[in-house]
Amino acid sequence: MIEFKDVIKEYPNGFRAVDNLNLTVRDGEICVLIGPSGCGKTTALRMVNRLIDVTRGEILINGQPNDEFEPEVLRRQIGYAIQQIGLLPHMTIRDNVAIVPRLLDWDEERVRQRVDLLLDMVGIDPGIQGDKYPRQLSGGQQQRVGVARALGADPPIMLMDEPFGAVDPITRAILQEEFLQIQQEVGKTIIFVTHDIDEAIYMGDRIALLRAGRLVQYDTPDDLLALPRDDFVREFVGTDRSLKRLHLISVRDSMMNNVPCCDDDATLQEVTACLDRHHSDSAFVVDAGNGKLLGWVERPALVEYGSLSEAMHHAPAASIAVPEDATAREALSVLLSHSFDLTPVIDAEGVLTGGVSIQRLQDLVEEPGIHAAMQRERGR
Amino acid sequence: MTEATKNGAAIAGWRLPYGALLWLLAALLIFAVGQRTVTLHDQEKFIGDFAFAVEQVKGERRLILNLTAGSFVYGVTPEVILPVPTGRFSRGDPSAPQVAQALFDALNSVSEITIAAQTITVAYQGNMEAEQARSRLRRPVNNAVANDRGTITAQVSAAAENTIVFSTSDERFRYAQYQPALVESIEEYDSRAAAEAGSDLARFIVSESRPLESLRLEPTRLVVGYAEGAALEPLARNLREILNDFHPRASLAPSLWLLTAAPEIIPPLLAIAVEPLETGIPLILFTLLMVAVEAGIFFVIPHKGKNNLLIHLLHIAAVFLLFWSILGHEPLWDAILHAIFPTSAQLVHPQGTVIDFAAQHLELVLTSSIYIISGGLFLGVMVTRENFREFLPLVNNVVNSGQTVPTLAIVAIMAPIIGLGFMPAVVALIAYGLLPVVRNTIAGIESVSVSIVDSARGMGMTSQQILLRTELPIASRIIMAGIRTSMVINIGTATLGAFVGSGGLGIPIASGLSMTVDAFILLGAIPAALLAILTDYVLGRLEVVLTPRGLLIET
Ligand SMILES: Nc1ncnc2c1ncn2[C@@H]1O[C@H](COP(=O)(O)OP(=O)(O)OP(=O)(O)O)[C@@H](O)[C@H]1O
Ligand SMILES: [Mg+2]
Repeated sequence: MIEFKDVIKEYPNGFRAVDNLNLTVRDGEICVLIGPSGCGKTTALRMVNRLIDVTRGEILINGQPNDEFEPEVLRRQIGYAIQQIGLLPHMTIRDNVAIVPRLLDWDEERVRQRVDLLLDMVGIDPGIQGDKYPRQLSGGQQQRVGVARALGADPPIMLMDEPFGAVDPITRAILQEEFLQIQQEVGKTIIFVTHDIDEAIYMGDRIALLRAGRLVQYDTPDDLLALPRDDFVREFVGTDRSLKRLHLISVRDSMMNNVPCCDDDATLQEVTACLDRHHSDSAFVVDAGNGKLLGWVERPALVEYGSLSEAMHHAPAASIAVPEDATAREALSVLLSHSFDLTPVIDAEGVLTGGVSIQRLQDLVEEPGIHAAMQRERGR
Repeated sequence: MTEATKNGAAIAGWRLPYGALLWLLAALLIFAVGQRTVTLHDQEKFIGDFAFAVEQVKGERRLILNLTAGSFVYGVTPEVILPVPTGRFSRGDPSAPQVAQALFDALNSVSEITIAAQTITVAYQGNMEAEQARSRLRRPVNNAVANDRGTITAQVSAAAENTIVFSTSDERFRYAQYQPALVESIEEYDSRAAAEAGSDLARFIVSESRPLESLRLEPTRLVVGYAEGAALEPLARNLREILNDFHPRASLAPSLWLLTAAPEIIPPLLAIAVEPLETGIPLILFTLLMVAVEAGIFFVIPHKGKNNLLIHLLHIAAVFLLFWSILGHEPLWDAILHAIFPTSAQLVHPQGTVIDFAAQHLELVLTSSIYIISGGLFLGVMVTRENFREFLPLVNNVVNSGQTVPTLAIVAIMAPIIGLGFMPAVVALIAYGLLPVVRNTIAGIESVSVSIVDSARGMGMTSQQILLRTELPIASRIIMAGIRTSMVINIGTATLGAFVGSGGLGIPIASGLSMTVDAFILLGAIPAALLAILTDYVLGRLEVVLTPRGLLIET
């Protein structure tokens, strides 16, 4: 647990970069510090491992003030990753990851095992890349090594200052996702600085929004989006905050299980009965044998051709359906692009498991309570 | 795919053992050149003007010539140190020793000179300023005696008027005299035929002198047996001419020279004493050995060889020894200089051989470089520390403007302040050579990006660990470049040390200029240039060796 208690930082020129910050980061949580450039995020972060001294107030780590430690001793227990990565160019990838364990005098065998484990974890092959030098890796690979290095001696706490800031959006998305998976395994207490609200919403268990050194709002992503405290927050999270909230919800949580659907060998009567039952003009068609989505059929076509096999539209599942583990926002995107009322949802095998409608999504973003509940259910 | 392209690919895949081939080339060159024998031309080295006392052996047809002057012994400075004869001498006295003669020559008004063991008292007439007389007379004394300059003081006498007293802290005044020498060891020939098959000198003597029947060469004696009826007077005269005409011949095959350091001198002044050592091992054997070593490295450890520190050091040492051996081979210098200046009477400097000067030069350069490198690194590291950063602009300015002061000016300014000799030259060299090292150390450390230092700090490195494990390794290449620049410049600058009496390759250059012997200028300039090129090569290799591999990757 990391606690900021009435923390004030004044730079020697009198500038107050952090003003009366009170903040508690719970164990195992990712706390995202966000705010406009210059609002004091980096300053707040670097005070935790005493790269910057606190002017007034104190920072407690597991209840103990951080100035009771020698700075070096403190820093070796706290992982630190920065946007510029800062890999030492004269050392191999392995040696870079091994820096903190070696500073802690681990024996070489243990260091080696730890380095292999970490490199594997961040998706760098220790055998192939381990003996290369930082300059021989791509930016994305270097970021991974930077994260592995911060995890070096298995510190309970990690400080990350825009760690994915220097890579292209696609790589960033991959790194974010991978990092969340790693976090699921390691459960560190993390302070994560970013100025990208999407990243904050995606990565954060809680988001602390700062403005000119002051904490404006500290909430879960969903609550921040649903209940912005003031105009500054509202503006900062953006007018598309409803869309962003959809981003937080998975299709699995928002889909309806009961959707109009018929087997591909169904008779005309069976199909019509199904459409009538659902008060719908169209239905999804699935393989009678394995339940995989094959396409859809519309009432006028049925009337015109008189048989399902002739009337149905065949379409590859991937082009019309969304997978269960996609976000509600992706479902919305599919809905908009196909002008469906209902977009089918499939599982990893391609089996139709339900559907998402515009109406349903609208309901979700209108009722904050529901999502807060869902959020909790997802156990994030 | 045709055969031709396949072959092409195969050939492209080959790697040649360049190292071995280069050494083989060197061996072939040394072999080709070493086959030749050259006539040695230097007059200074072989004191012409042989003089001897003739002694006839009664009843035998034998003539003994006892050498009183002249020398053929090559490579050994043919001189002995003798005490200056004491006594009172007046102008025109033929028995006056050399130092007295020099003083009479230097100043016309000198009337009487009294020499005792530790003092030389010079009396002069007229109303000359005492100070002026003292400064006019000091140089001839210094030149004529063998005592170290530092031990001699010159004072205006308080007891007598118009009198200057030179005194030495040595036991007594001494002077140097050439030791006459014909050969190094005795050679004996009892017939003309034997002599014709003998040494160069013996062959020359019998071919030039008809009445000669037997010949014995001793270091200081020439004993000849002559044919019946030969006239002795012309024979003796003839023999002296023969000796004066003879030029020794020498092989151009060099031998291996090593460099040794005398460690006992190191503690007091941190001065490196360098001694050149001739091993007598033919250089060609060494080059052939290197061919084998290179081939071994190439075929046995082809890949490791590229980055192995030891192999780099081996290369550096081998190239140095080759160069050093060539510097040490005096007949080569004699031949080269005679080819360039066929009419020059002096080709080899009287004060020493090329390798002696080169060794002094190295001493000067290495000693000053130790101070330069340690001091420069220290200064550069200091001003980049948090606590001393405020001095950085100051040091930067001093360093940059210091570079613009001409070298000769520094030497000239230093001389009156700290006097003459070895250490003053070292100090002047330090003052000048410090600059590139400090500047590059600062630049190197500043080049380490802030984020790298920040992440090192954030991981919990102490400032010392940051310096040693992060800043210095990353800066090492730039720092090494500074050291390289400094040392190469230093080699050139050290030639100016001759003006403050520090020895080194500047000595032949300076005396060549003052005596207008062009050969001497080259005798200093060529080795100095070679030394600079060699140092550049050695440090260039070291730069590669010492730069961490991760930094050599281009981005
Ligand atoms: N050493 C310093 N002396 C004076 N002012 C400083 C110093 N370091 C930072 N500041 C000021 O403190 C404020 C906060 O800086 P900080 O680096 O914490 O911002 P940030 O929120 O991380 O911004 P960014 O998103 O651009 O990284 C800025 O206005 C900056 O100008
Ligand atoms: Mg910042």
